Amino acid sequence: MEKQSKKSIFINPLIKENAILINLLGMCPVLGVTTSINNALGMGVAVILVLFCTNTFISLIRKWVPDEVRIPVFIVIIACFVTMIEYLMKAFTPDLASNLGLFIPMITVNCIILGRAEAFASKNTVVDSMLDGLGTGIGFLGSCLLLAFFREVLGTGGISFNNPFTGKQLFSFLPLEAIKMPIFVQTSGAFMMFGLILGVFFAIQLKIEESKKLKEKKAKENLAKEVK
Amino acid sequence: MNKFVKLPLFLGGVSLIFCTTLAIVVNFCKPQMEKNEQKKTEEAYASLYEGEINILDLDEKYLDFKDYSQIKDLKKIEHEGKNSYVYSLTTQDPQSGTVSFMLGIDSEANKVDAYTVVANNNSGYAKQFENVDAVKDALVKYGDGEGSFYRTAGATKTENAMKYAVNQAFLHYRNNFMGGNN
Repeated sequence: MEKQSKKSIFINPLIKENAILINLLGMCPVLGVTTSINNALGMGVAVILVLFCTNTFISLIRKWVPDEVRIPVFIVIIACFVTMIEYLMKAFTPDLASNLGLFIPMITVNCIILGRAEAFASKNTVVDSMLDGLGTGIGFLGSCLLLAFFREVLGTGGISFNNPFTGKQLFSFLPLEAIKMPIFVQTSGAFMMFGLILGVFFAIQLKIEESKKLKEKKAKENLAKEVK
Repeated sequence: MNKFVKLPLFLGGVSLIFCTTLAIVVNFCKPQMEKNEQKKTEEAYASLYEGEINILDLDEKYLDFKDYSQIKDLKKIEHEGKNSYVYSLTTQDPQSGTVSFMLGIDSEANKVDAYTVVANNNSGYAKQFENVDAVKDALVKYGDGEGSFYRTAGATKTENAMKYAVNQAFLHYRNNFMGGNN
């Protein structure tokens, strides 16, 4: 396997190997909770914490885990960290925990977490696994925020933000309230908006690849001319 | 060591370590969660009745809800010289999710005098039940002790989730506080 630098381990999952926008993994919470920036931020931070902790721990014990029971061991570790986060959220951010509801315990079965544990943390050093967990988690958070931003703006006509610890509203800016389209904060709106974002994302990617190829072609042509 | 012994032992050991850690976290969070619950209940009572309320003693025999699965709690309260029975209800519907709400029934007029949603873990239709006045009006209109709760204004499929719970509260009230004339 090609050895990656620490920087690329952290940077790649942010955009180039983004779990949501490129690999289309762990879609359930992304579509379910991105009705508001608040919920997306809560879910994103919870996933970052779980990914960071599980990757670190699994990497720490990777040499002692027998191969035959590695998946059950990973699941026990992931489920334990998710339950800890769930209890901490219920205690200190009760409104956010209530809004996210079943999607918090469902982080346990999110394929990003088990995927990174199996594909990366069980084969790499602790520091690399930490960086991978952080990078993948931040990439997940970014995708959730992107989707939530457009859904909330179009669905409610603006942006509102509550303090997750007290539940009090910090600000509410609703300049487009008169033309809001509530479908975007419903489930069907999640699919529509996600499709649109994916479309734009892939279009940008294609454009970048095309321009790269064009540059390479021009460089080759110039080289050929110089040789002649 | 035989792997049929070694593997379960390893898995058991890992589970034990993590269960212990989890127990510590749960114990750390429990007092704060109880505080949150208490605060939520106080807020619910405050939004249920304006002004001061006194919780009165209620005979244990009225607190047997084995035939009323959606009734979670019942309190007798005194408010502005009137007595009311406050039911805490939780209803679950495949379409509309879980909604917890409180329903106060005036013991003299035998009709709904207060209603509030405590928790709504529902992202869809049940949001409409947070409109307290509209629902309270509908409950007063239809749930006046004569017939059972029938429908709310602006009927949608969501009403089933609430209807069963409200009907259970009325049934319990009639069987226990109106002489069982159901």
